[in-house]
Amino acid sequence: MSAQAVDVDNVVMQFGGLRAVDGVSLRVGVGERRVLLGPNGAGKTTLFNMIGGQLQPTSGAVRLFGRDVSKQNPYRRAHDGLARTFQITSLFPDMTVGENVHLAVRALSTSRFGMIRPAGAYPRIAERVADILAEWRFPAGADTRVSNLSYGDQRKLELAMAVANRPRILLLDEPTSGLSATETESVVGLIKGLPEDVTVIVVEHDMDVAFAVADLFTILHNGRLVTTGTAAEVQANEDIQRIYFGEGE
Amino acid sequence: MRPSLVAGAVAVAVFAVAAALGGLLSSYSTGLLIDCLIFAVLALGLNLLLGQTGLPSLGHAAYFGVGAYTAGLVMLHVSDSFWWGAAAAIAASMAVGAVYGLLALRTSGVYFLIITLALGQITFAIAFSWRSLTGGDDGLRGIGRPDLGLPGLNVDTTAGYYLLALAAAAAALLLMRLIVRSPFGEALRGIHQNPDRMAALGYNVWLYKFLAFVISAGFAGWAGVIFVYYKGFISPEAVGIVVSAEVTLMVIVGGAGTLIGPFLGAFLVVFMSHVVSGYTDRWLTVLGLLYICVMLFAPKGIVTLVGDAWRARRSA
Repeated sequence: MSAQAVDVDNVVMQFGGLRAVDGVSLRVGVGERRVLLGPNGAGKTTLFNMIGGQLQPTSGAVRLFGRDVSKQNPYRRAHDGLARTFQITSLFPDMTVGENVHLAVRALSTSRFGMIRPAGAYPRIAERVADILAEWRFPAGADTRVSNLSYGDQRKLELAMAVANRPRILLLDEPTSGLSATETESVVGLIKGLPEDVTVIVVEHDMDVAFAVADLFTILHNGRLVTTGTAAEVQANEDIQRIYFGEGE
Repeated sequence: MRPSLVAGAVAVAVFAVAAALGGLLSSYSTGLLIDCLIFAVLALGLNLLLGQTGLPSLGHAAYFGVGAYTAGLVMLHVSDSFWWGAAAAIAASMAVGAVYGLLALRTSGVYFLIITLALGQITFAIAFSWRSLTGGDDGLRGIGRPDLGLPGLNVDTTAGYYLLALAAAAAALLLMRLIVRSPFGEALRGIHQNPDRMAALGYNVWLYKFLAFVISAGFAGWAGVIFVYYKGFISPEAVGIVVSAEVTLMVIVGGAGTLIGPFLGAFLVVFMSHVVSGYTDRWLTVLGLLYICVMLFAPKGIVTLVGDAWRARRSA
């Protein structure tokens, strides 16, 4: 019996008087590509944060590959093969592109607590960093400080760091927001080019991107899960049209 | 020639000249340099927390004091061996650092600053009131110079002790250089800039902060060892808030997050305190003014200011 990659079981997230996520259950199989849709405030990012471990659910459970991780720290989930990007670009702004990638690659290595040898003196890690930099090609160069990088390249770097350790589950929170049409296209290409066994969940507002990267779509509204369906079902469903596109009051 | 080799050669030359100076200067000046070296080691330790990890500890005199008292007590009651005293002192400082770290790391930001300040004051209160152990406000007196077990180095003279202090500071600087350049040090800088991202990448952020706290306390304890054997006494004053605040300023004035900045900051502040004390009693006022000037004109510290100017000239 194969467990689901991500199994969210009736989770609730209560912030004071606000119930941001209200009893959502979501099962995503291994290798599946799923897009979460919904208007602002629907609870998509909160749900992401519970899967990633940034938030612990008020009630309910989150399981990764069948194992309950509800109380586990984000770093433990990273070691279980989960990686993510953030809605608001989250990098190390005073470090170079190369150093950012370096930190990402080092994160799951046993040498991450090393205190004697210089960080640069680990050939296998240096090699992997060089491979990633060659593969992703940052035109500004690896020695550019991230704070001097263009916004598009910063988003690209986020993605490069998220996939640096070949995660089994990848959470992407609005990966194309603020990107140009060309940049968006290249991000779509990158997501579609991920190995088949990688489970990918994407929060996305751009419907063209959503339909390009996923087969199944889950709609959230006011902290509740409305439905899950294929592109055709989503487009045909009138309730969804009304909720998501705000048509017909 | 690689820049790191140049820096290494310069460092060796500086320490060689500094060692030669010990025989030439007056005993008073040599004593002043010993003070500088002691506080340089303390500032170096604090910088691992404040500069590298971004944790503003305002109670670092506590670990300095624990180291100094422990070394003093070992000398008075157990053994006059430098190495036993130093080992016990560093172990005690790190143990206290571990307990305080567990408490302080439940908070962050300004709350972290306040709780480390409070823990520092508790340590001061213990030093002040536990008379049977610490001698209360009289402190511990009559602590002699230690036996290093090394032939040819007589630390009973100020010039001889200066060589010990210089070697102790050089050892601390070399060890800290290893730490900040290691994967561990790199992770601390990542945590300083973006702890949430570090956690999402797979770093146990809490454990890194805790280890940095304990190591930092160990450096402070090492500084306390050099201090107590030099002065021959230790009183609660050395554990107090003024010392903690001065060390924090040394780190910030010199350049938090740089390796050599805290070192230079310590020399600057100690020298200024001696010079200013010759003219006025208002040393703390002058210290405050110095701090304001650095905040206004070189908020990242003197070393960073000079480094940026040098790079700008090179690229121009």
